[in-house]
Amino acid sequence: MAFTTPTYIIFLAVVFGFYWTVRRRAWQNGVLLLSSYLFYLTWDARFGALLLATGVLDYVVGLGLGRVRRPAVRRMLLIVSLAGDLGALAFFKYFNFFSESFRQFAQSIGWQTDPVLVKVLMPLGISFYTFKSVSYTIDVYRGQIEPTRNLIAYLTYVAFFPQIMAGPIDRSGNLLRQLLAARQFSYPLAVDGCRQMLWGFFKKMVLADNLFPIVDRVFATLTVSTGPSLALALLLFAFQIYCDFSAYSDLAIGAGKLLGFESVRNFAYPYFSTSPAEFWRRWHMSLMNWFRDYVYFPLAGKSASRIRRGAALLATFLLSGLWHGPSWNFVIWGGINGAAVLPSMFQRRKKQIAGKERRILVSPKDLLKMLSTFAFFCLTLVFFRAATLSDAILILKRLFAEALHVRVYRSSLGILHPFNGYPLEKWQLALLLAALVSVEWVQRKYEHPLTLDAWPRSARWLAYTGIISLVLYFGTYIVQEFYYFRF
Amino acid sequence: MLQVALGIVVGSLYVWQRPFDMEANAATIDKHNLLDHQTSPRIVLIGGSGFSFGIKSPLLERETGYHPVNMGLNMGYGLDFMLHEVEDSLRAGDVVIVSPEYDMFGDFYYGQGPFIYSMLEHRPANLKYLSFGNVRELSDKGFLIVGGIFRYTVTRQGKEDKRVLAIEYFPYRRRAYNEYGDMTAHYPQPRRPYDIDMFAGPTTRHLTLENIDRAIDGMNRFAERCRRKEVRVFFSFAAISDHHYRLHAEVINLVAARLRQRLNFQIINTPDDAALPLDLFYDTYYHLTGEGAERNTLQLIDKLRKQGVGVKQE
Repeated sequence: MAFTTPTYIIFLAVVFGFYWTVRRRAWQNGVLLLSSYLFYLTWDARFGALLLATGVLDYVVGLGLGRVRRPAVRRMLLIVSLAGDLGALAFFKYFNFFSESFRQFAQSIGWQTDPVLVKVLMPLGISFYTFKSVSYTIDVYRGQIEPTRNLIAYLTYVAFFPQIMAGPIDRSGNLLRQLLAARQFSYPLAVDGCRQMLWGFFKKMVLADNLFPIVDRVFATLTVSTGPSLALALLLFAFQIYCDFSAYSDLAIGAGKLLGFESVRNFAYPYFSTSPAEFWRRWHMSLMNWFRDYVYFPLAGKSASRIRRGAALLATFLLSGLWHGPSWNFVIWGGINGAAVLPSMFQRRKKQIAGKERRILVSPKDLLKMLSTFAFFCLTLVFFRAATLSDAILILKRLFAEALHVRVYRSSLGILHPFNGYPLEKWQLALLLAALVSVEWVQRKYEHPLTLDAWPRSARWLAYTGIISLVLYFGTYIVQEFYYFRF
Repeated sequence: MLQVALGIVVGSLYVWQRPFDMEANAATIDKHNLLDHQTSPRIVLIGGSGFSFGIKSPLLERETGYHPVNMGLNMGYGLDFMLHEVEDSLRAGDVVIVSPEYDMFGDFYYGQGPFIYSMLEHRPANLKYLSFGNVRELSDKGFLIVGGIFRYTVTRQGKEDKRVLAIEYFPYRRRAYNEYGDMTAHYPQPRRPYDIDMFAGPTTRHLTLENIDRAIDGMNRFAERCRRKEVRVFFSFAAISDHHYRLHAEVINLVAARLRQRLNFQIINTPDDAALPLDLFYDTYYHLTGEGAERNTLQLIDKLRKQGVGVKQE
């Protein structure tokens, strides 16, 4: 049940109806739990038991941590939770990767091995719900939150359907706390949720899904793709992945608002960042905050040396790269970004200029910084998008070898028409991307750009109608799965 | 209110400008009329457009003595729908040939939303043949359908459609089918090899074991209901160009192997039999020319005779 289908809208409407009809919190959580499992099982019935097991394991561990005082036993309980959750994640996601990597390493030192490779399917959403559940047991262990006795609320927290497939990784301090509290229907919150979902529909259906065939075709035909066409494809991929992933977050957060929940923010207009460090404070924020709190801080320690902090930062980025997928490409991608963020650790953070988020015009210095940060991120996407390391190296070689071949640039525009019947003309695509950047720039002080409370009612409805028309006209040719589902 | 008003305006304009009666999908009305009124004994042909392009029913009728009803129209309706839509109309003594395109063993089993919707626009009575899978497919692709209606209206596509559908030899129109439901309008026209080159071949990404078994189970259930009605059912591999057969041999042979293992009614040919020379195809790897249809029909007649259907009386 993809978010951008009427099936999901009908499902959400039915859940919304039942949920707000039952007044008591316990019943509401019951509705959410049932609907979350139904949602998950329509995607993949085979792994419903694993989702349940993850939730039950950490609920029980949490209760144990709440009762036990002896440090050794508490540590043991935490290890059980981590081993169970991360063990399942490691098996389903990384078993073959490490097995094959070991074989290659062994071969390089002259040792012939025949490692076991298992045919495993990765359960959908495992990277996301595992991190949610693990964060709960760690927070309980640290004494930062009290364990909950409410099994229904906890299982709902882990399986919460708007977030289960691709986040945000909402932690117990936020989402579970709200699940344990009474909720009243809030009309302004529900309306805001609908607006945020509408923006998500626009980004996903009009932009991400239409950019997909262009990018996919170029990367599928690497041997004949020129440097400039690869550069253009990378630029468009940057927009594709931003629109795809942030749209999912908007749809997830928006649905949460309809149900009375305020989820954590996941994207804060990252392409307007003026440095890599700022970029990673604005991109996939829930994941980066998770890594910061559960990997970086433990590794860096409290009064750590610069070297230790630097090493911890690099290790965090390497691991976050690996989180994205069982491939050395992702590890390298993480490492490059970590290396780019490293210098900022040793610089004094500049004071934010008050009101900067309201300014329409940007200074030439800031514009240059934004463009260079964006360009750098696009370059790192070579490793993110390429199927193999050798493909990534080939792309980089082509990019730099043909950067000065001016005549080839014009022909690279041909990639903007990937098949007969492609719905967007070049100028339409350019206009829509420009509209995205402009709207998000002007509205960047808000969580999402459709926060139009200051507008007159007629203007607001005109804007909604315009966006719906764009979605219907341009966004209904191609239906693509969300990109981050593969993680 | 603005959206509601706009919806009413767009919907009205859409209905007004679209030449429903001329479109190819309107042929479902004629095919159902034929199914209801064709004299027995009948051969009912179930498949997609491959079957509508691939059979010369007058030849079939002459050589077998059975009166054909060619229900082949669009594989986008899905095999599940195609089996349901003929069930109630079958009579004792009928012979049914099930010949689904390979795509229907995968994600075309329940059809594709926009095609199902277009079919329903022309014959709403077909609603009763929809299964939960078809309804789910319609719901999943609902935005494509609504978007299609919106775009059709806004770009005034109806004007261009009326012009094209008036062309006598244009194959994708209601009047392109003969009285048996065979596609015949393209017979005098030259092949369109450029169009064939545009297609990589059947959609094979979703031809998993699970999906293939789903299609086989559906056909087995259909065959069981046919047996109770004293209707004979046969399976025939769909005609496909030899070029595309070679491209997708692995998955096609997987389908064939699974059919041989699990199908509960007679298979009368092999994928190899059904792989015909590329120059017998008109504009896609399933759509035969007139010459190709004749050859395919003669093959079918021969296979049916071996099953005791339409044996020539000496």
